[in-house]
Amino acid sequence: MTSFPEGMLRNLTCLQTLILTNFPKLKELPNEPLSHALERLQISCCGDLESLPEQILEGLQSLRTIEISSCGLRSLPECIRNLASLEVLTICDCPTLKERCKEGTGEDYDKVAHIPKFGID
Amino acid sequence: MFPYIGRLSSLRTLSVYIVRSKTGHNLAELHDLKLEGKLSIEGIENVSSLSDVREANLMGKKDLRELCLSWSNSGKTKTHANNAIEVLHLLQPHSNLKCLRILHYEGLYFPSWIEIHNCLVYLELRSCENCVQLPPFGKLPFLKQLSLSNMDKLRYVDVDESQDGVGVRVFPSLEKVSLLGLPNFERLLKMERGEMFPRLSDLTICGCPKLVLQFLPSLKDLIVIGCNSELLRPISSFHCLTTCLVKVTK
Repeated sequence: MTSFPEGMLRNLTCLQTLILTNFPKLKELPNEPLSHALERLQISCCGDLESLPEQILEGLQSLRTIEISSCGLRSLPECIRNLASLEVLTICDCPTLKERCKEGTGEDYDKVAHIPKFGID
Repeated sequence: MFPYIGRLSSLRTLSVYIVRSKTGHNLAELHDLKLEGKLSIEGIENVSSLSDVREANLMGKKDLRELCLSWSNSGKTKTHANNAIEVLHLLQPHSNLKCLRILHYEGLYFPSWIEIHNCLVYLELRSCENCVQLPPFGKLPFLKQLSLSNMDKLRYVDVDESQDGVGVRVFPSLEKVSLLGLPNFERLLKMERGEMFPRLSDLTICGCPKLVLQFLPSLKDLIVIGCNSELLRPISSFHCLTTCLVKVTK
Protein backbone atom coordinates (compact mmCIF):
# COMPACT_ATOMS: atom_id res chain seq x y z
CA MET A 1 0.00 0.00 0.00
CA THR A 2 1.49 3.32 -1.06
CA SER A 3 -1.36 5.55 0.11
CA PHE A 4 -4.58 5.44 2.11
CA PRO A 5 -8.01 5.81 0.54
CA GLU A 6 -8.85 9.46 -0.02
CA GLY A 7 -10.98 10.93 2.74
CA MET A 8 -10.37 7.99 5.05
CA LEU A 9 -9.64 10.19 8.05
CA ARG A 10 -11.63 13.26 7.09
CA ASN A 11 -14.89 12.70 8.95
CA LEU A 12 -13.56 11.03 12.07
CA THR A 13 -14.38 13.96 14.30
CA CYS A 14 -14.11 12.00 17.57
CA LEU A 15 -10.77 10.34 16.84
CA GLN A 16 -8.45 10.66 19.85
CA THR A 17 -5.74 8.14 19.02
CA LEU A 18 -4.33 7.28 15.61
CA ILE A 19 -1.65 4.64 15.26
CA LEU A 20 -0.23 3.77 11.86
CA THR A 21 2.30 0.99 11.99
CA ASN A 22 4.30 -1.01 9.49
CA PHE A 23 3.36 0.35 6.11
CA PRO A 24 6.83 0.02 4.57
CA LYS A 25 5.72 1.22 1.12
CA LEU A 26 3.52 4.08 2.24
CA LYS A 27 4.62 7.23 0.39
CA GLU A 28 2.15 9.79 1.68
CA LEU A 29 -0.63 10.52 4.12
CA PRO A 30 -3.80 12.24 2.96
CA ASN A 31 -3.33 16.01 2.95
CA GLU A 32 -6.37 16.75 5.06
CA PRO A 33 -6.71 17.87 8.67
CA LEU A 34 -7.06 15.17 11.30
CA SER A 35 -9.75 15.21 13.96
CA HIS A 36 -9.55 18.20 16.30
CA ALA A 37 -10.10 15.74 19.15
CA LEU A 38 -6.83 13.92 18.36
CA GLU A 39 -4.64 13.53 21.44
CA ARG A 40 -2.09 10.97 20.33
CA LEU A 41 -0.50 10.30 16.96
CA GLN A 42 1.92 7.44 16.45
CA ILE A 43 3.56 6.62 13.14
CA SER A 44 6.09 3.83 12.96
CA CYS A 45 7.84 1.56 10.48
CA CYS A 46 6.90 3.55 7.39
CA GLY A 47 10.32 3.61 5.72
CA ASP A 48 9.16 5.24 2.48
CA LEU A 49 7.21 8.02 4.17
CA GLU A 50 9.40 11.05 3.54
CA SER A 51 7.15 13.89 4.70
CA LEU A 52 4.04 14.69 6.68
CA PRO A 53 1.58 16.94 4.84
CA GLU A 54 1.26 20.44 6.32
CA GLN A 55 -2.50 20.21 6.67
CA ILE A 56 -2.54 17.04 8.70
CA LEU A 57 -1.54 18.71 11.97
CA GLU A 58 -3.26 22.02 11.38
CA GLY A 59 -5.31 23.29 14.30
CA LEU A 60 -4.92 20.18 16.43
CA GLN A 61 -5.24 21.98 19.76
CA SER A 62 -5.79 18.77 21.75
CA LEU A 63 -2.77 16.90 20.41
CA ARG A 64 -0.51 16.04 23.34
CA THR A 65 1.73 13.27 22.04
CA ILE A 66 3.44 12.54 18.75
CA GLU A 67 5.61 9.44 18.45
CA ILE A 68 7.55 8.82 15.26
CA SER A 69 9.78 5.82 14.81
CA SER A 70 11.56 4.06 11.94
CA CYS A 71 10.21 6.38 9.27
CA GLY A 72 11.97 7.95 6.31
CA LEU A 73 10.86 11.49 7.21
CA ARG A 74 13.24 14.17 5.90
CA SER A 75 11.79 17.07 7.86
CA LEU A 76 9.06 18.05 10.31
CA PRO A 77 6.09 20.11 9.12
CA GLU A 78 6.13 23.83 9.89
CA CYS A 79 2.81 23.72 11.71
CA ILE A 80 4.27 21.68 14.55
CA ARG A 81 5.26 25.07 16.02
CA ASN A 82 1.60 25.96 16.50
CA LEU A 83 0.47 22.92 18.45
CA ALA A 84 -0.26 24.56 21.79
CA SER A 85 -1.00 21.36 23.74
CA LEU A 86 1.87 19.28 22.42
CA GLU A 87 3.71 17.94 25.46
CA VAL A 88 5.60 14.96 24.10
CA LEU A 89 7.45 14.42 20.87
CA THR A 90 9.59 11.32 20.53
CA ILE A 91 11.58 10.45 17.46
CA CYS A 92 13.34 7.14 17.25
CA ASP A 93 15.32 5.50 14.46
CA CYS A 94 14.81 8.29 11.92
CA PRO A 95 18.41 9.23 10.97
CA THR A 96 17.61 12.29 8.83
CA LEU A 97 15.26 13.77 11.42
CA LYS A 98 17.79 13.12 14.15
CA GLU A 99 20.32 15.22 12.30
CA ARG A 100 17.81 18.01 11.57
CA CYS A 101 16.60 18.21 15.17
CA LYS A 102 20.06 18.39 16.76
CA GLU A 103 20.11 20.94 19.52
CA GLY A 104 21.48 24.31 18.37
CA THR A 105 22.64 23.31 14.90
CA GLY A 106 19.77 21.31 13.36
CA GLU A 107 17.54 23.05 10.79
CA ASP A 108 14.35 21.84 12.49
CA TYR A 109 15.47 22.41 16.07
CA ASP A 110 13.58 25.66 16.45
CA LYS A 111 10.36 23.88 15.47
CA VAL A 112 10.61 21.54 18.46
CA ALA A 113 12.51 23.56 21.04
CA HIS A 114 9.29 24.62 22.79
CA ILE A 115 8.02 21.07 23.40
CA PRO A 116 8.32 20.21 27.13
CA LYS A 117 9.23 16.56 26.59
CA PHE A 118 11.23 16.14 23.45
CA GLY A 119 13.23 12.95 23.00
CA ILE A 120 15.25 11.75 20.06
CA ASP A 121 17.21 8.55 19.66
CA MET B 1 -5.68 -36.58 36.01
CA PHE B 2 -6.87 -39.37 38.29
CA PRO B 3 -9.77 -41.67 37.25
CA TYR B 4 -13.34 -41.85 38.59
CA ILE B 5 -13.61 -38.18 39.49
CA GLY B 6 -17.39 -38.68 39.65
CA ARG B 7 -16.94 -40.31 43.06
CA LEU B 8 -16.02 -36.92 44.55
CA SER B 9 -19.68 -36.19 44.93
CA SER B 10 -19.22 -32.92 46.82
CA LEU B 11 -16.90 -31.43 44.23
CA ARG B 12 -18.17 -28.01 43.15
CA THR B 13 -15.25 -26.58 41.19
CA LEU B 14 -13.43 -28.46 38.45
CA SER B 15 -11.65 -26.04 36.19
CA VAL B 16 -10.36 -28.66 33.70
CA TYR B 17 -11.57 -32.15 32.88
CA ILE B 18 -9.58 -34.15 30.33
CA VAL B 19 -11.44 -36.93 28.55
CA ARG B 20 -9.44 -40.09 27.89
CA SER B 21 -10.43 -43.37 26.32
CA LYS B 22 -9.32 -45.27 29.47
CA THR B 23 -11.82 -46.47 32.07
CA GLY B 24 -12.75 -43.84 34.63
CA HIS B 25 -11.87 -40.92 32.39
CA ASN B 26 -15.02 -40.67 30.29
CA LEU B 27 -17.61 -37.90 30.25
CA ALA B 28 -20.13 -39.95 32.25
CA GLU B 29 -17.95 -39.25 35.32
CA LEU B 30 -19.38 -35.71 35.33
CA HIS B 31 -22.98 -36.92 35.60
CA ASP B 32 -23.63 -36.33 39.31
CA LEU B 33 -21.18 -33.48 39.95
CA LYS B 34 -22.95 -30.24 40.78
CA LEU B 35 -20.26 -28.07 39.27
CA GLU B 36 -20.32 -24.30 39.42
CA GLY B 37 -18.25 -21.44 37.97
CA LYS B 38 -15.87 -22.43 35.19
CA LEU B 39 -15.39 -25.78 33.50
CA SER B 40 -13.12 -26.64 30.59
CA ILE B 41 -13.57 -30.06 29.00
CA GLU B 42 -10.59 -31.08 26.89
CA GLY B 43 -9.85 -34.10 24.72
CA ILE B 44 -13.43 -34.51 23.55
CA GLU B 45 -12.13 -36.41 20.50
CA ASN B 46 -11.49 -39.29 22.92
CA VAL B 47 -15.14 -39.97 23.73
CA SER B 48 -15.88 -43.60 23.03
CA SER B 49 -19.66 -43.57 22.99
CA LEU B 50 -22.45 -41.08 22.55
CA SER B 51 -24.19 -42.42 25.62
CA ASP B 52 -21.19 -41.32 27.73
CA VAL B 53 -21.59 -37.84 26.27
CA ARG B 54 -25.25 -37.76 27.15
CA GLU B 55 -24.34 -38.87 30.68
CA ALA B 56 -22.13 -35.80 31.13
CA ASN B 57 -25.38 -34.06 32.03
CA LEU B 58 -24.22 -30.51 31.33
CA MET B 59 -27.85 -29.52 31.10
CA GLY B 60 -28.24 -30.33 34.80
CA LYS B 61 -25.39 -28.05 35.91
CA LYS B 62 -27.35 -24.89 36.43
CA ASP B 63 -24.57 -23.11 38.35
CA LEU B 64 -21.98 -23.35 35.57
CA ARG B 65 -21.26 -19.91 34.18
CA GLU B 66 -18.31 -20.51 31.84
CA LEU B 67 -17.79 -23.56 29.67
CA CYS B 68 -14.98 -24.42 27.27
CA LEU B 69 -15.39 -27.44 25.00
CA SER B 70 -12.14 -28.44 23.35
CA TRP B 71 -11.24 -31.11 20.87
CA SER B 72 -7.58 -31.97 20.30
CA ASN B 73 -5.54 -29.75 18.04
CA SER B 74 -3.17 -32.56 17.08
CA GLY B 75 -4.56 -32.56 13.54
CA LYS B 76 -5.09 -36.32 13.72
CA THR B 77 -8.74 -37.00 13.13
CA LYS B 78 -9.88 -39.93 15.20
CA THR B 79 -12.76 -42.18 14.22
CA HIS B 80 -15.21 -40.44 16.50
CA ALA B 81 -14.39 -36.97 15.27
CA ASN B 82 -16.88 -37.61 12.47
CA ASN B 83 -19.50 -37.58 15.15
CA ALA B 84 -18.42 -34.13 16.29
CA ILE B 85 -21.79 -32.53 15.60
CA GLU B 86 -23.67 -35.28 17.44
CA VAL B 87 -21.29 -35.00 20.36
CA LEU B 88 -21.67 -31.23 20.55
CA HIS B 89 -25.42 -31.61 20.22
CA LEU B 90 -25.41 -33.77 23.38
CA LEU B 91 -23.15 -31.36 25.28
CA GLN B 92 -25.89 -28.76 25.52
CA PRO B 93 -25.32 -26.80 28.73
CA HIS B 94 -27.93 -25.32 31.05
CA SER B 95 -29.41 -22.10 29.78
CA ASN B 96 -27.87 -20.18 32.72
CA LEU B 97 -24.46 -20.39 31.03
CA LYS B 98 -22.96 -16.97 30.24
CA CYS B 99 -19.63 -17.73 28.50
CA LEU B 100 -19.06 -20.44 25.91
CA ARG B 101 -15.86 -21.30 24.11
CA ILE B 102 -15.58 -24.04 21.48
CA LEU B 103 -12.10 -24.99 20.29
CA HIS B 104 -10.94 -27.25 17.44
CA TYR B 105 -14.44 -28.52 16.76
CA GLU B 106 -14.48 -30.39 13.45
CA GLY B 107 -18.16 -30.27 12.54
CA LEU B 108 -19.43 -28.37 9.50
CA TYR B 109 -22.30 -26.80 11.44
CA PHE B 110 -23.22 -26.06 15.04
CA PRO B 111 -26.14 -27.69 16.79
CA SER B 112 -29.26 -25.59 17.14
CA TRP B 113 -29.04 -25.22 20.93
CA ILE B 114 -26.42 -22.50 20.53
CA GLU B 115 -28.80 -20.13 18.78
CA ILE B 116 -31.49 -20.42 21.43
CA HIS B 117 -29.03 -19.97 24.29
CA ASN B 118 -30.42 -16.58 25.14
CA CYS B 119 -28.29 -15.86 28.24
CA LEU B 120 -24.94 -16.04 26.40
CA VAL B 121 -22.82 -12.96 26.95
CA TYR B 122 -19.48 -14.20 25.59
CA LEU B 123 -18.95 -16.57 22.69
CA GLU B 124 -15.64 -17.71 21.26
CA LEU B 125 -15.14 -20.13 18.39
CA ARG B 126 -11.54 -20.97 17.67
CA SER B 127 -9.98 -23.26 15.04
CA CYS B 128 -13.29 -24.80 14.01
CA GLU B 129 -11.75 -25.27 10.61
CA ASN B 130 -14.48 -27.20 8.80
CA CYS B 131 -17.20 -24.84 9.84
CA VAL B 132 -18.86 -23.20 6.84
CA GLN B 133 -21.71 -21.40 8.53
CA LEU B 134 -22.63 -20.15 11.98
CA PRO B 135 -26.08 -20.28 13.54
CA PRO B 136 -28.04 -16.98 13.55
CA PHE B 137 -26.15 -15.52 16.50
CA GLY B 138 -27.51 -12.10 15.58
CA LYS B 139 -30.65 -12.96 17.52
CA LEU B 140 -28.88 -13.59 20.85
CA PRO B 141 -30.26 -10.73 22.92
CA PHE B 142 -27.47 -10.40 25.52
CA LEU B 143 -24.37 -11.37 23.54
CA LYS B 144 -21.72 -8.72 24.29
CA GLN B 145 -18.51 -10.30 23.00
CA LEU B 146 -17.87 -12.47 19.97
CA SER B 147 -14.48 -13.88 19.03
CA LEU B 148 -13.91 -15.91 15.86
CA SER B 149 -10.46 -17.17 14.96
CA ASN B 150 -8.73 -19.57 12.59
CA MET B 151 -11.75 -20.65 10.60
CA ASP B 152 -10.73 -21.07 6.98
CA LYS B 153 -14.14 -21.57 5.41
CA LEU B 154 -16.20 -18.97 7.17
CA ARG B 155 -17.55 -16.15 4.96
CA TYR B 156 -20.06 -14.34 7.20
CA VAL B 157 -20.86 -14.05 10.90
CA ASP B 158 -24.55 -14.14 10.23
CA VAL B 159 -26.33 -15.51 7.18
CA ASP B 160 -29.84 -15.17 8.54
CA GLU B 161 -32.17 -14.01 5.80
CA SER B 162 -35.40 -14.86 7.55
CA GLN B 163 -35.86 -11.56 9.35
CA ASP B 164 -36.32 -8.38 7.48
CA GLY B 165 -37.91 -5.00 7.82
CA VAL B 166 -38.21 -2.22 10.32
CA GLY B 167 -37.80 -3.03 14.00
CA VAL B 168 -35.36 -5.91 13.48
CA ARG B 169 -32.23 -5.60 15.62
CA VAL B 170 -29.21 -7.66 14.68
CA PHE B 171 -26.67 -8.31 17.45
CA PRO B 172 -28.54 -5.87 19.69
CA SER B 173 -26.10 -6.03 22.64
CA LEU B 174 -22.82 -6.83 20.91
CA GLU B 175 -20.02 -4.51 22.07
CA LYS B 176 -16.79 -6.24 21.16
CA VAL B 177 -15.81 -8.38 18.16
CA SER B 178 -12.50 -10.04 17.25
CA LEU B 179 -11.99 -11.56 13.82
CA LEU B 180 -8.61 -13.27 13.60
CA GLY B 181 -7.24 -15.49 10.84
CA LEU B 182 -10.34 -15.82 8.67
CA PRO B 183 -8.88 -15.99 5.13
CA ASN B 184 -12.24 -16.25 3.32
CA PHE B 185 -14.29 -13.99 5.52
CA GLU B 186 -16.20 -11.43 3.41
CA ARG B 187 -18.72 -9.55 5.51
CA LEU B 188 -20.21 -9.46 8.98
CA LEU B 189 -23.76 -9.91 7.74
CA LYS B 190 -24.67 -11.61 4.51
CA MET B 191 -27.79 -9.50 4.32
CA GLU B 192 -27.94 -6.01 5.82
CA ARG B 193 -31.23 -5.42 7.57
CA GLY B 194 -32.90 -3.43 10.32
CA GLU B 195 -30.73 -1.97 13.05
CA MET B 196 -27.33 -3.67 12.87
CA PHE B 197 -24.72 -3.75 15.64
CA PRO B 198 -26.22 -0.75 17.46
CA ARG B 199 -23.73 -1.06 20.36
CA LEU B 200 -20.59 -2.35 18.67
CA SER B 201 -17.77 -0.18 19.97
CA ASP B 202 -14.66 -2.33 19.73
CA LEU B 203 -13.54 -4.21 16.62
CA THR B 204 -10.26 -6.07 16.07
CA ILE B 205 -9.45 -7.49 12.66
CA CYS B 206 -6.31 -9.47 11.88
CA GLY B 207 -5.69 -11.64 8.85
CA CYS B 208 -9.03 -11.22 7.06
CA PRO B 209 -7.84 -10.24 3.55
CA LYS B 210 -11.26 -10.45 1.87
CA LEU B 211 -13.24 -8.58 4.51
CA VAL B 212 -15.26 -5.54 3.47
CA LEU B 213 -16.55 -3.57 6.43
CA GLN B 214 -20.11 -2.44 6.74
CA PHE B 215 -21.44 0.76 8.26
CA LEU B 216 -20.77 0.54 12.01
CA PRO B 217 -21.98 3.84 13.40
CA SER B 218 -21.13 3.23 17.08
CA LEU B 219 -17.58 1.96 16.59
CA LYS B 220 -15.07 3.62 18.95
CA ASP B 221 -11.96 1.44 18.91
CA LEU B 222 -10.74 -0.12 15.69
CA ILE B 223 -7.65 -2.26 15.27
CA VAL B 224 -6.86 -3.50 11.78
CA ILE B 225 -3.79 -5.66 11.26
CA GLY B 226 -3.02 -6.83 7.76
CA CYS B 227 -5.14 -4.44 5.79
CA ASN B 228 -5.76 -3.24 2.26
CA SER B 229 -7.38 -0.12 0.81
CA GLU B 230 -10.76 -1.81 0.36
CA LEU B 231 -10.91 -2.68 4.03
CA LEU B 232 -9.94 0.84 5.10
CA ARG B 233 -12.29 2.71 2.78
CA PRO B 234 -15.44 2.69 4.97
CA ILE B 235 -13.53 3.97 7.99
CA SER B 236 -14.38 7.53 7.00
CA SER B 237 -18.02 6.86 7.91
CA PHE B 238 -17.31 5.68 11.46
CA HIS B 239 -18.11 9.00 13.10
CA CYS B 240 -17.68 7.85 16.71
CA LEU B 241 -14.19 6.40 16.26
CA THR B 242 -11.82 7.47 19.03
CA THR B 243 -8.95 5.02 18.53
CA CYS B 244 -7.72 3.67 15.23
CA LEU B 245 -4.70 1.42 14.84
CA VAL B 246 -3.89 0.19 11.36
CA LYS B 247 -0.98 -2.02 10.48
CA VAL B 248 0.00 -3.81 7.28
CA THR B 249 1.27 -7.04 8.79
CA LYS B 250 1.47 -8.74 12.13
